[in-house]
Amino acid sequence: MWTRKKFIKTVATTSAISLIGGIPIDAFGKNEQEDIILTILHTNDVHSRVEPFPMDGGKNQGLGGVAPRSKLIKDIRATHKNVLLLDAGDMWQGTPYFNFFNGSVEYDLMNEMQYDAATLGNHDFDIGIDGLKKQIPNAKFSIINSNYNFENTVLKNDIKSYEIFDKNGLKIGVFGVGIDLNGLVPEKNFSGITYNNPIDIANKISKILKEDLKCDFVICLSHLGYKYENDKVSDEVLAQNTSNIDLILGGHTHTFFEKPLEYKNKEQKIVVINQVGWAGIMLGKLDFHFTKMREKKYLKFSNKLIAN
Amino acid sequence: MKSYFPLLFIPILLSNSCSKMIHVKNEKYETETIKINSNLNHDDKIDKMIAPQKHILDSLMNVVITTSDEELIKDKPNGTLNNFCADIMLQIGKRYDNDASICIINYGGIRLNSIPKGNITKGKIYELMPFDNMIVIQKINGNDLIDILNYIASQGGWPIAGISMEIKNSKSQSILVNGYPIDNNKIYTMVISDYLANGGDNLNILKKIPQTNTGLIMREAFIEELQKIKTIYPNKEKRIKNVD
Repeated sequence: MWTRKKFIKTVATTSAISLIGGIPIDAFGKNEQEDIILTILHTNDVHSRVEPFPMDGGKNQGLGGVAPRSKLIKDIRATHKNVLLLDAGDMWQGTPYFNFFNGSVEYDLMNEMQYDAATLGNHDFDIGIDGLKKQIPNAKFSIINSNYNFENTVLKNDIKSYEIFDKNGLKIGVFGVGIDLNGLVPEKNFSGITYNNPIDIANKISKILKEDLKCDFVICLSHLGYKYENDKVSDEVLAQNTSNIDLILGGHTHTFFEKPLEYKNKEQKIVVINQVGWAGIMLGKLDFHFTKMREKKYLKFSNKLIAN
Repeated sequence: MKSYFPLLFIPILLSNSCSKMIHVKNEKYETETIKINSNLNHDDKIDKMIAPQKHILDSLMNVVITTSDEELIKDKPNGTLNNFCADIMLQIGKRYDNDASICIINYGGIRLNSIPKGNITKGKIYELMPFDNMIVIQKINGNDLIDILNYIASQGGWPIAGISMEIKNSKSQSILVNGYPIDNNKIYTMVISDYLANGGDNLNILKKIPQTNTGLIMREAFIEELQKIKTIYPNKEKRIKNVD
């Protein structure tokens, strides 16, 4: 049974929540007003798509663009208290903005939109480790990867293995996994980086985040790709072979999910995977509701198509 | 446009450190796909931020270099954009090495799914091939070429020029090089990107073959080549056939 003392302690650690009736009879979440809502906004494989696709008769004409995306994000922030804005890699490469300005425009715009974190895709190595090193100080968001070993590179102090965000008392652990760069990225662009098995790393880090660091929710930013015909490691494989991930935000395969997909993890718990295509055509939005006891309750999501 | 999907009832596992509170509960959620049309507002601050760079790029990139008579499409196993890219690259390579007779481009190296009918700007070619890959020449024997084509078959087909083949059970067969059956021992002169020649896309076989660098950046060479062509008429050859 809940004692008064225990209840007060719980409330204190989940920060200020209005108490209706004082006693948490409805603490399991019938009263939605008392939920803490965590809003995850995310992109992947934006590929330097700064401006919307031009109106030239192409399939994607008028879609994407940072200016409409930013407006949308700012509007969402105005009505949602606990927003995390994340990117799952390949921020760079695809339009002349990258060829001419080496990634500075993309990072500046992500700063303006107040991205919290991003992981690295293979194309984020297209100007090599040195190019990345030059640009990272301009990013006001965290760059997170957990399965590349940067120890022998100039990036060793620039990439975080994970980060914990506090949203209204909720502890959100975010880590990142990247694809094997061998055979994908020219060797000269990533020499010194060693690759660790993403499943092993994900299990290790997510356990630390959940159990040792007491995160309420663990997000994996992944640039592995949604799934493959062969047994190559993917978000699907990751979801099914790990134990402490709640949400995988994916990329690389440019897959447009109509809605997030649910998988069972090693312990038969639900893992949600989402990916929003590429080029900033879509913005993923997932609302996770937590009760006072920080239970994961349910989610409501929408993938927004951004058109000019 | 807003479209609402039916409400779904799905089980969500609730977990909490307190064992008493672990229970399964059906909860509803709704999915919503909002298609935002051209009325969507811009964040003016972003437009202001990018204005200086946009100005520079517009002046450099909005230059029309050629015109396409039809939309060019990238597809597997064949596409008019596949043929277009491989043909132009072979043409460039031939100018460098007279013996050049075949060309291979990785599917992922072509970054646009289509080029619309009409004017093609310089910026479009930047989007088509944004990488700073170089064009190199490799002399490859028939045996190794078959290995490469088998890999291409396993990938469902890549842009190729000077070669035709069938794909069966994810393997290549009935390979013709410039109309003649492939000869295991013959040496073919191949135009290719340094990315692939250095083992990109896991084509490790190519790593051991010496390469002659033309010194040409693929994209820049394409732009120069296309400026010489007034109108592009798509080549609709089916160079790769699935026969499964």
